[in-house]
Amino acid sequence: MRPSQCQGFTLIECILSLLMIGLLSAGFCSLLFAAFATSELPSMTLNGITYAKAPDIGQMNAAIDTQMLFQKLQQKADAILVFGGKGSHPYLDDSTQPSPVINWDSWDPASLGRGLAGPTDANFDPARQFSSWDQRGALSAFFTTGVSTADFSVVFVQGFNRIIGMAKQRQLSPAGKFNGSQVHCYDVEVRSFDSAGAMSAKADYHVCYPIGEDSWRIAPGASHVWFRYDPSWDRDEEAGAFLVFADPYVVAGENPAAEVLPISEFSFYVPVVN
Amino acid sequence: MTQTSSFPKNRERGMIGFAVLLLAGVVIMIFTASFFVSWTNYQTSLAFDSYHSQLVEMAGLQQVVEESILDLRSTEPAYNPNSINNDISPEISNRLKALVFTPHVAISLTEGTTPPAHIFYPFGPAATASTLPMFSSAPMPPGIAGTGNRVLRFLTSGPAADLGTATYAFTRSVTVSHNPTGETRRIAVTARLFSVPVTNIDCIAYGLPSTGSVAPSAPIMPNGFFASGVSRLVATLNDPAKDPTFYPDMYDSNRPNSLGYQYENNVLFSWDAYEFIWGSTYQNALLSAAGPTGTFDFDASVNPSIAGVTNSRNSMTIDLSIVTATTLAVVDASGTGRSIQVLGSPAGNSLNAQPLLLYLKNTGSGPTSVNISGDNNRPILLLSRQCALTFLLNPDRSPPQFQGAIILDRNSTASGAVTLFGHLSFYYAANPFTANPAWINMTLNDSPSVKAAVAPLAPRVLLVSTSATNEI
Repeated sequence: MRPSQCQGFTLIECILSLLMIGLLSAGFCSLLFAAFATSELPSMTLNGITYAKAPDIGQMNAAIDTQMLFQKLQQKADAILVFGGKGSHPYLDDSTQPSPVINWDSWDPASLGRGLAGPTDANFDPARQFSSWDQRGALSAFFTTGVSTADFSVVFVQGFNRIIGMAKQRQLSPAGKFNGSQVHCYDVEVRSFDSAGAMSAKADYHVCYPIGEDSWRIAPGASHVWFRYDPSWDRDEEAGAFLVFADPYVVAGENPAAEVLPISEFSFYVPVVN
Repeated sequence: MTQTSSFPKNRERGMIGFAVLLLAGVVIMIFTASFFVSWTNYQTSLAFDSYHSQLVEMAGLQQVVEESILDLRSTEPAYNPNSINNDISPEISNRLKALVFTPHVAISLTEGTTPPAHIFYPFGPAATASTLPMFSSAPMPPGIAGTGNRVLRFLTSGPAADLGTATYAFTRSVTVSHNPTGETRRIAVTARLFSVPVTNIDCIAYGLPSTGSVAPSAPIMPNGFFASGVSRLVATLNDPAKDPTFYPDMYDSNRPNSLGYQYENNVLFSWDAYEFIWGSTYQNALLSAAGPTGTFDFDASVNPSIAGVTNSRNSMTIDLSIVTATTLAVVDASGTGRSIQVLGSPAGNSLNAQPLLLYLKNTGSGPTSVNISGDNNRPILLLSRQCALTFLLNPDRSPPQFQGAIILDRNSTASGAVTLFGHLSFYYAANPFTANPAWINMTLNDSPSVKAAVAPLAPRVLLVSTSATNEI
């Protein structure tokens, strides 16, 4: 039998409830906004750089800014030279091993640009810029060897030797563990330069992953794609390079051995000849 | 008897209700927060994808404009402004239809201008070479840096003329159900046109895809043929089974004859240009330019008196140091038994500053024998149609030095010893090096001065570089 008296909330209970919910909501939202605005999420510091643990919205936003700068440079460049990664030359380089990249600290466009082939070169032929390989010898003084397969350097060139921008990615494997896991830390940085060689814009992001979670469907790094190698007709023709940047938000998760893995959102094909 | 209820008392019911309400509120907030995080990431990614798509669209529109202009113009100098005006917009619109855009995105051509005329000799005076600085502080004309290496390669190899620009505006509209007014953007594509002599590239091994063939692999050149710094061009198909220099990375077995976009200008220079050069339009125009007073015909009953030309019955001599015509044509309908002696112009000759187009046309069954002797210091553009060129040693047994551009047709050969300064192009499917082992005594050198001198008379290729801006 239904009770004769079924009483709802009292007025004070309702007011208290609304008050409590309001307070909780405000607190929750402020916490959420704080999380979005700053890197309060789990992070680690290495060599003075703070690496947010992926997935991280803040670094995702930074990554988008970085990639937009990358694409602006891509639009303006006459040639896009990629150093590092696999297959830097189909005949003269072991395509399975990572090739040298430009030192992480070398960002001076003037000194790097002087090394690129130009009209003063006795063997000058603009067709040589069909491949990054031909420029590699000229820039060898700035190279680091023994790097990770995920490392690469991209040099955006206008004309023959004016460097208008550079992009670099490197992977670090620090000793020790972060929250009980070995991690890979990624630095991605893009800089553009004005006609005087001064830096006009810079964007970067820094993110770390427990090892295995940076196993996207296509591994981070650079893969060079070649048309042909024909020295007799000066056809050292690289088609371009496929670049996979670290993705701060989409990670492979806890099952890197899964049959279907996610793809880094920041995967691009860049032609050598733009 | 007092009936006791199993329900809690009023006050207890209120507390339970409050707790349930509180729990529900927290659960909803957690779900909301989770949704918010996912939604934010989704929207950010969407915005980035949209930005990326628009860049791809702009690149596509640039390609559409470039291809449309090239399709109508390319090497064709016969230029009718009205015809171009009428044709360019439908050409662009037709190509637009072939593009697939993001859903809800529509792009249409709204404004167009007439591309600059591309005239070259003998259809009219060729545009003079422009000063093309790599970088320039002046807004107009801008430096050529940024035009892309597909174009830069040709612009920096010799003289080229900046013909000006043509701008095409496109409207990009996005219409979605929740925003019927949508968003409209204007994408402006500016095409910059350049007229580039084929002689800018020192050596071109050309193919004839329509009237001949494109050999699968590049010709093997004799050691030492290319001197240091010589630019060279050959465009072969990307089939690793036929061309051992090609890697299968980009090979599409379903489209074995396709070439990457970066080969576009190479193909214009090394295939299309030579289809045009050896086609009737250009050939007839050369004969017209030579005219009756500049044409020697072996089969004519009477030939005009041409300065620098002497002849007997089946042979003639051309002294390049004396010829005053701009274009000299020699026509031979038989070939067999006919011979031409070409004497080079020595250093110091007053006519050395004047370029000469020498067109040797043999339409007979066998080649005309052409012997070239002596150093030549006059910039000569020699078009050889079915001729067997032989470079003779100097009296001191040294190979002569020949300045100029030599363009051989599919039935021409060359042999002997010579040091060439300028340009050489040949139909590489004919494989003249195997047939003529004497080529091993030839060397080709780059010569900017010779390329500049023959540029006013050289056949040309139109190159287009495009840039795009995206405005609200």
